[in-house]
Amino acid sequence: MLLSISLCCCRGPEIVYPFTGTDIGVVTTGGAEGFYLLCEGNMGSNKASIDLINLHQGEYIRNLYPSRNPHTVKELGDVGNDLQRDGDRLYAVINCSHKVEIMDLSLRRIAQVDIPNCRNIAFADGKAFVTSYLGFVYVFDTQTLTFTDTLSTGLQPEQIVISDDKIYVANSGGYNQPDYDNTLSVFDRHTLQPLPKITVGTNPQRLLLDDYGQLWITTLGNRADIPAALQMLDTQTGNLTTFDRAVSGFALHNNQLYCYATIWNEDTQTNTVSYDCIDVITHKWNEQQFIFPDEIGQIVTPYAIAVNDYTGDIYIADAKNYVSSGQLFCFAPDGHLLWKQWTGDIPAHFCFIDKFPDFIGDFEDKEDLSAYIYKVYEYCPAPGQFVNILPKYEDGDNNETMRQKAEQAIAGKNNNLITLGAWGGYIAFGFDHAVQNIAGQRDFQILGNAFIALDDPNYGSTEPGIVLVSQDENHNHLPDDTWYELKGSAGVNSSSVTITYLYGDTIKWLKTPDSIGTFIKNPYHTQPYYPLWDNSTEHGFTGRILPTEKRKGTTGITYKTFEYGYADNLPNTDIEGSSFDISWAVDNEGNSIQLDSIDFIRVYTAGFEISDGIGEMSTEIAGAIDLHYNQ
Amino acid sequence: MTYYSTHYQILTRFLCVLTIALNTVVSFGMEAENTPSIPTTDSIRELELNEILVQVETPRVLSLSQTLSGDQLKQMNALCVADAIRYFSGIQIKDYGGVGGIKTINVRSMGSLHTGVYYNGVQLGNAQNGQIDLGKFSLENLDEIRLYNGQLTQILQSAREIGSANSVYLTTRRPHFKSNHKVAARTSIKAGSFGLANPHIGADFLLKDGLSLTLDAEYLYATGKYKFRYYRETPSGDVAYDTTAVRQNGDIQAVRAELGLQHYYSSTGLYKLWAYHYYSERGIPGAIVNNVWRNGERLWDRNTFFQGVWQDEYWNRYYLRALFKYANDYTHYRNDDERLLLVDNEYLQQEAYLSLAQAVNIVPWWKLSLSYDLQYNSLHKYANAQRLTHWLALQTAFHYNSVFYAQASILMTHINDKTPDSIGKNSSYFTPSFHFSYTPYKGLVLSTFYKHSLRYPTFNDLYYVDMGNASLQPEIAKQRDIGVDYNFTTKKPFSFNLSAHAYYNRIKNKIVAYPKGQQFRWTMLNLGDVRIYGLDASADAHFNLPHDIQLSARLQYTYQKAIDITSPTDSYYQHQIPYIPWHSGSAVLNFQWREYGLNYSFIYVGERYNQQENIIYNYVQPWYTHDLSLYASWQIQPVLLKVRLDINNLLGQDYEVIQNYPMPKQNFRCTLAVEY
Repeated sequence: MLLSISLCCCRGPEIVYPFTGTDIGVVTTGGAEGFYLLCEGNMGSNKASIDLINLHQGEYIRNLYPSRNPHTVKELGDVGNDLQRDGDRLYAVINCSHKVEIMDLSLRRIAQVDIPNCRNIAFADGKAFVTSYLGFVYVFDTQTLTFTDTLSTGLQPEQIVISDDKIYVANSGGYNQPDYDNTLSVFDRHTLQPLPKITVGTNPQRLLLDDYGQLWITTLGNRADIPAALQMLDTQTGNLTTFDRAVSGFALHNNQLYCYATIWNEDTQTNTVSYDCIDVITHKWNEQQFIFPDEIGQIVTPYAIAVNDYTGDIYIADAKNYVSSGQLFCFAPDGHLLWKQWTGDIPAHFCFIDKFPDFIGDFEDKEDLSAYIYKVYEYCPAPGQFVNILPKYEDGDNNETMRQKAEQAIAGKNNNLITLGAWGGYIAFGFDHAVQNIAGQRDFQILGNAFIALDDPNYGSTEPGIVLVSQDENHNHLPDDTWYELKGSAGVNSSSVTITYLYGDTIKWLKTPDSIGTFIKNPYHTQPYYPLWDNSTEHGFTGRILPTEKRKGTTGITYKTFEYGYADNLPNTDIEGSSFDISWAVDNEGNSIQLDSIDFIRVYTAGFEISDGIGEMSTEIAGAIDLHYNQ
Repeated sequence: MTYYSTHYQILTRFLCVLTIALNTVVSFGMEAENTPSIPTTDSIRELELNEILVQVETPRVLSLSQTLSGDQLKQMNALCVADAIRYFSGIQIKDYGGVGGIKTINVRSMGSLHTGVYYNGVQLGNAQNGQIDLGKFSLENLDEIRLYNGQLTQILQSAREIGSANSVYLTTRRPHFKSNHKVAARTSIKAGSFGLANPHIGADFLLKDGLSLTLDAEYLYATGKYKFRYYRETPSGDVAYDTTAVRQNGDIQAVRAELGLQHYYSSTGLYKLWAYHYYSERGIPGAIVNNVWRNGERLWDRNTFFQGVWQDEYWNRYYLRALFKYANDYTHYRNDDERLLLVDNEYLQQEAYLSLAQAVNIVPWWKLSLSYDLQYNSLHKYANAQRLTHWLALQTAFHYNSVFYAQASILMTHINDKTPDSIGKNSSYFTPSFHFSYTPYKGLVLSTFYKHSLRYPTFNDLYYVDMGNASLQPEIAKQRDIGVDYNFTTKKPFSFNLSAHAYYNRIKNKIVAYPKGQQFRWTMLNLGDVRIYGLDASADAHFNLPHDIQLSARLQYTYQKAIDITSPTDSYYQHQIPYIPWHSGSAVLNFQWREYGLNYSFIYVGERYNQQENIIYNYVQPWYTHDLSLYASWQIQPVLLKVRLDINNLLGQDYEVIQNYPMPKQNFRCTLAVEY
C-alpha cells in the first residue's frame, strides 16, 4: 500500500508558479489599457503577487511576476506594500522583504534596492522617496540607484506625497500603540530641508493631494477613545479641517473623493462598511453611497479603491479574510456591479498603465541562458579594422544603440564576434547573477577567436585582452566600482600608460609622454577605423601594455601566446586556457585581492601592435560562460 | 495468573480498575526485590511480571490505543517525542524544522489544541496559547508514548482526562534494579548534525522495599545550522533558480532535570512525587522569504512543575486516586531584528491542579466512578488573566463475559475567567461520551465510540492585546469512530496486530482569526466549521527467526478528508483545510541479530495546501524521507555499552512541513551510552 502511494504520489518537478488567465467577460473601451494590482500576501507567506488587468481585452492575469522573472529566488517577496510607476518603470515596495523591486512595464525585473521595513514610495526630480518604518525617508537616484539622502521623519511613516514645492509624510506611530504619532513631516522639495511638522489627527495613514492644494488625510485614531476621521489640510493656508467620519481608503475622480470605511462593532462582532463620496470643492458628503446597497454585502473586507479616470468605473479590492484569494469588484459610475474577479491574497495597490508593452510572446518558456552574458554595460572600442563592422554601425547609432548591438552579439548563446579595436578599447559585461569564486577552480570563460599556429603551438593568432573584474560594491547594478585586474601569466609589473587616438581620415596615436604615430589601414577594410558613433575628435585610453613577440611562419604572422590569463589569447576549445580564476585578482599595487564573487567583467585590448599588414592587434569577444552556474 | 503480551507492549491487559494512565504511572517500577525469582537479564519481562503484581482481577477488553514503548521506542531514530509520534496513524506533526523548531501534534485534523498531552498521568498545560511543544520532550527517560483517540476505556480517570478529545500519554522510565543492586545508572552522549551535543545522565536508587528515587538530567545544545535548498524549474525543465543556504538563528540550549520518588507501600497502594524542570534559550529561525535569509527572534522558556499521584484500593471494590500539580512557566520572547518592531515580552503562567477520582464495583459487571478536578491558571507580566476551572465527571461501565463492554460518561465543565478589565465570566458546559466494544473471540475487538468535547479559548484567544475576543465560546468537537482491532499472539515465532478505524469528526465554532475594522487588524471569532472523514489503518508484525534473528515491521496509513464548510460564499468552501494531506503513512522495519540492530523508517506525507484555498499558489508537494539507524550493544561487566548511528533524510530531500520553513537535508546523529 505504501509502495503504491509512493509510486503514484511522488513529488513532481518544482515549477515556478505559473500565471493564470481568466476572461473578465466585460471589455472596457477608452482610457488606460488596464492596471497592475499588487496583492500584499499575508506576512511570512512570501505571497506578494502582481495581477495584470487588461481592461481593453477584458482579461485578468493572476500572479504574473514569477513567470516574468523565473530566476528571482523566492519570487516577488513578502508583503507588498506599494506599487507606483515612474516613467517606464514600476516600483514595488515589498515591506517584509525589505526591498524596492524595480521592473519595466512588462514586469521584467531591472533591479532591487534594499530598504529596511519600507512602506511607500513617491517620485520627484529623478529621485525616489521611500518611507521606512525606521523613521526615515530614503532617497535614491532612479538612474544610478544610489542613495542620495536620508530624511528623518516621525514615528513609523506611512504614505508620502510630493507637491510642487513640498514633501509630506504621514507619521503613524504604528509601533507605539497606544501612543500613536499625530504629525506630518514636511520637507522642502528642492533643498530636502525639514520644515516644521504639522499636527494632525491621531495615527495618520494615507495622504492624497488634490488639484486645489488640499491634502486629504486618513487618521485611524487610537482604537480606543479617539475615533478614526478624515482630515483635510489646506497646504496654502495651513488650515486643518476634520470630518467626523472614519475613512479607511480613498480615491479621487472628478473632484469627488471616493471613500470607503470599515468599522468594527464590538456588540455585533461584525464589520460595518460604508462607501461615501465627498466633493473636494464644496466639502459636502454625497447623500448616497456610491455602490448599490444590494451589492455591498458581497464585499467582506474592502482594502483598496481606485477609479478609472476615463470611464469613472470604481474598483474595490476585497481582502476577504486576509489568508485566501481576494476579489476585485468593478462598479459602474452609477453603482451597479459590472464584473468581479478573484485576485491574489490581499489585493491592495493599483497602478494604471496607459498601454501595456507587447510581451505576450514572452510568456513562452525560454531556454535558461543565465550561464551566459546577460548584459553589456559599456562598449568602447579603440580604432580598428573591424570597428563599425563588428558590430555594424548604421546612421543614427549612438553609444546606447551600439551597446545594445554589442549585447545582442555576445549575450546568451549568440556568440557573434565584436571587436575591441586596438590597444585600450574595452567592453564591460556581466551575468544575471554574481559569479562565484570557487577555490582552486577556473570561474568563468571568455570566448574569442584565437587559434594556434599549425607549425608551432606556442604561437598563434592571439590578440590578448587584459581582464578586470569588480563587485557591485554600491549595489547600483552599474560597473562603477573598483576594478581589479586578473593577473595573467605575464604578471603585472609594467606600469600604466595612456594612449590617445586622434580621429580623422588618418588616425594618429599619441602615447604619453613622447611617442606619436599613424594608424595604418589595410586594403581589406576601408571604412573609417574609429567609432563613427563617437562624435569627439579624440579618445584616450589608459591601461597596461602586454609584451608581444611576433614571428613569421608558414601560416603568416603569428604572435606568441601567453600561458594563461588573457581573453582571446588561446582557442575557445582550450577551456582551461581561455578561462579565468577570480582568485587572480590584484589591486593597483599588485597585491592579491580575495573576492568571493564578482558582478562585472571588463576586457581591454592589451597588445599594442598597429602597424603591420594584417591590421592592428585587437581583442575580439564572442561571449562568456559562468563555469559554476548550475553545477 | 494468566497474561499475554505482544513483544513490545507492556499493555494493560488486565482489568480496568486502574486507568491506562495509572497503569503506566503505577507500573513504574516494582523493584526486583519484590520478585527475586525473575531473571534480571530480561528487563522487559521483569517489568511485565512486576506489573502483574499491581494489577488485579478479570481480563478486560483490549485497549484501543497506539503505543510505542520499550525496545521499539529505543530502536526508533528519534531525538524527541515528536520524532517518534510521527509513526502513529491519524496524526500530523507541525514541524518548523531543526532541533529547536517547535513541533506540535494534530490528531485526526481536529487542531492541536484538541489533544491533551499527559506527563505521568497529569496534563501538561499552557493556558496562554494552548501549545504543547513535543520537541521539548526528550526520549531519554521515556518508556512509553501512547495515543488514545477519543475516550480511554477505563473507569478510574480524572475528570480532565475524560474531557480530552484525544490524549497523548508520556510515561517516564520505570526504574528497575538487578538483583542485589541498590543503584541503577545510565549516561549517554549524542552528537551530530546541527552542531548537536546532548549529554544525559540518570540514576535510580532503591531506598527500601518498594521505595525508590529517580534522578534524570540532560543538556542539549545545537547550533541549529543546516543546509537547505530552494530549487525551481521553468516549465520546460531548465533551472529557474537553485539556491542553497544555511539556516540561521536556529540554535538551542536546553537543560532538563527531573527528580522522582515512588513508593509502592502495599500490594494495592502507591504514591509518586515528581519534580520537573526545563529551561531553554533558542532562536526562532523564522520564515525564509525573498531577500530575508535570517530572522532575529529569541525565545526563553522555563517550565517547572511538581506533581504527585496517590492511589489505593479498599475492600477489593473501591478505588481512590488523587493527583496534584503545581506548574510555574516563564516565557520570554524578544524580537531583535532592528528593522522590525522591537518586541520584548515576558509571560509568567501558574497552574495549580487537584484531582480526586473514585470508582466502585457495584457488582462485578457494573462499575461507577465519580471524579472532580479543580484547576487554577494565571497569566502575568505582559498580559494578566486568571481562570478557575472545575470538572465533574460521572462515568459508568458494564461488561459481559469479556465479550461486550460499554462505557458512558458525562462531564460538566465550569469556567470562571477573570481579567483586570472584567469582574469575571462564568460558563458551564456538559459533554457526554459513549463507548461500546464487542469481542467475539479473544484478540478481535469491534468497537465504536461517540464523544463530545470542547476546546476552550486560550488566554491569547480571549485577551491578547487588540486581537483577543473575550466573548469567544469554546470550539465544539464531535467524534464518531468505528473500528476493528485484531491481535494475534503466539509464544513464538510470530505475532501481529491489525487495526482499522473509520471516523467522522465535526468541529463547530472553530476559533479563527478574522479581519476587524480598518487596516490590517484581526480578531478571534467562533467562525469555522470543519468536517473530517478519516480512515486510520495500521499493522505490525514481529518474527522470531532462527539464529537469534528478530524482524519486525510496522506500517500505518491515514486517509483524511478535512473540509471547511463554514460558508458557501467562501472561496475555500469544501476545500481541504491547510496542512492536512489526504494521504499519509509510514513504514518501520527493524532487523535485529543478538545485540546488533538495524532500523529503517519511511515517512510519507502527501500533497496538501498551505492555506484554506486548494489552488495552485497554495499547493505543497508531498514529502517522504528515509531514515536509517544502526546500533549495537556490548555487555562489558559491570556495564552495558551501547552505540548507535542515525542517518535521517537519507536521500536528502528538500521539503517543507510548514510553508517557508525549510527542513534539513541529510543529517546524522551518533549516540554512545553506558548503563550500569
